[in-house]
Amino acid sequence: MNQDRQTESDLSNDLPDDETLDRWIRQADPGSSSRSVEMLRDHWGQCVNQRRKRKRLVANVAWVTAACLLLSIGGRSIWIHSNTKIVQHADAPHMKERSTDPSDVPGDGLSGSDLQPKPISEDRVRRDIASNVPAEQNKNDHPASDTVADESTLLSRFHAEIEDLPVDDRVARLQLIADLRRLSWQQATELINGISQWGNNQHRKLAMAVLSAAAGNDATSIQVHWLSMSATRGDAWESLVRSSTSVQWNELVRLAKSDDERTLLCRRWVDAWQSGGLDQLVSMSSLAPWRPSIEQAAEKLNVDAAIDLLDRIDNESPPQQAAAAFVLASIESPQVDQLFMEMITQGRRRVVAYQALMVRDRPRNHQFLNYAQQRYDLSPALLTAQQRLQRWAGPAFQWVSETRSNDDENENLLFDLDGDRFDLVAARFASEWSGT
Amino acid sequence: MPKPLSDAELEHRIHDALPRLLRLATRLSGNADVAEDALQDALLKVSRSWKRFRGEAALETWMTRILIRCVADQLRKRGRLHESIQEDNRQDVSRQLGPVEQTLADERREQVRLAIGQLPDRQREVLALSLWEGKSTEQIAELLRISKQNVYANLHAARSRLKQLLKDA
Repeated sequence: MNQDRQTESDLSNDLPDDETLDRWIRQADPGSSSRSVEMLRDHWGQCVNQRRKRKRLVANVAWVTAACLLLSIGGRSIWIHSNTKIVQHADAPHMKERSTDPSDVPGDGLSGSDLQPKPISEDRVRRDIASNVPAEQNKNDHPASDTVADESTLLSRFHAEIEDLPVDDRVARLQLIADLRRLSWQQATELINGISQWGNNQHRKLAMAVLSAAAGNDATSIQVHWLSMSATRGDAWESLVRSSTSVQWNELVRLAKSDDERTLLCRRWVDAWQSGGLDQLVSMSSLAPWRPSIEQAAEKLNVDAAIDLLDRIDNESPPQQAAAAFVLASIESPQVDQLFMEMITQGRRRVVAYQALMVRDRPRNHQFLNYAQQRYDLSPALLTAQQRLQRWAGPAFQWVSETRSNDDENENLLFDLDGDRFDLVAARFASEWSGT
Repeated sequence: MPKPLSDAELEHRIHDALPRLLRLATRLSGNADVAEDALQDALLKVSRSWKRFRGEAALETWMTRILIRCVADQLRKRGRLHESIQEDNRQDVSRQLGPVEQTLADERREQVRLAIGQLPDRQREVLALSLWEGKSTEQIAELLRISKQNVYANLHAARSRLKQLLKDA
């Protein structure tokens, strides 16, 4: 009888009491019909395997780098260094002095160590010749020492070949690459250095592409060598950055010299933000020379990256929060602000979303913050956000302001926002939010 | 403070926790497909950010926080919740009721789920953790990083809103 009355009450249109409502909610539990987790177990297994692979790769790269370092310290290898002392122009005698130590043979894949300037061994060139030229052609080859080829003639012949190379003729290009692989070490060196004197940029760029292809696994070393010559540096840098992977980025950071080069590298990180690029952008934000480039490149950062950055602001230590906030502030898309505003109005992660809006410092955000301050349900989180922001956001505000005013050359300013300056920034924000 | 776990231990414990995590994701999202996608995202994030797990919170808390965010992100990507709930609701029917009661119970269950789907994210999260997951107020406050008062306020607001929505329905 009692139960009948209860069921009747349940099904009526009156407002249910708390107990009835809770009972209904429990009955509506979507978790009571659970699916199989086999697919998820497979997915987790794949995640774990990928992580192990990444760890192994990093460990291998570390070992190779350490080994290269030891060899360089021990004097067992002479580096082609991007130092002006070594090569500014064609300088064959220097190249002849290079070591033919077997230890300089590169591995199968490119790694961070490939970006260390390193010697291109004559043995290696010979092996490439042997492995790439058909046997009957090899029979007709003269030994390197017997080759009678005037160096200037060789360079001009190569120039002529490049000039005549049809743009779309893949076969002709492959033939030229095969011919280049048959050159002796001295001849190859002459060409590698000689193209820096060419006046025509298009021809030089094409020559660099062909020589890189002919060098096979040594291409990276040659491109690093070209960085030491002003005429070839731009194209070599572009090529290095374009083909780089996450394990090579730290080496490239050391080699970058100008804002343009840094910006190009930052754009590569933006393109690969899900594969470690975002980590790189955030970590480099704490270095003043990198910030203008990061700001420029991060304009185009994917909106989904904003959520990742929000997580970092929510979870990391103050210096990393500031770095993540700087990258976040650089994203141009107004969708990012829209996303944070939606989060706030929907009651999701309000405090950190408010912090993000304040750091991004756009006029539309100020309007929204003013509006939120008037709303009794939105203002408590805003207050908390303002308090939290004071703990870490000083450097971020400073970096954004300095970078936007193109006055960001002094690295000593890092983390140097004193209490007075922070108060000034905070006061400006407070007055804007309160609409005064 | 819990000790940082070894890689193997972490792998093992997450592997074992998958059924519970899937159930939680289903409860938070109201839809099994969304739950699976969100959990996949969460697992990917966990595998990429192990080094950031410093053992300051319990593994379960850390993982649950990530999952809650991934569910919210998935729901945001797919639009509002109630559209996906409708197709998912007609499966589990009480076997103890007669045909008329069963139909009525089904109808109400669907109405309740749709109403829950219309709640703001934070209210829905608090409700699911409290009533379906059986978490205490302290646990919910820790998971969502809000105060206990805020938990109570959200629970109260969720109930009031639900009552109104059910009445309108």
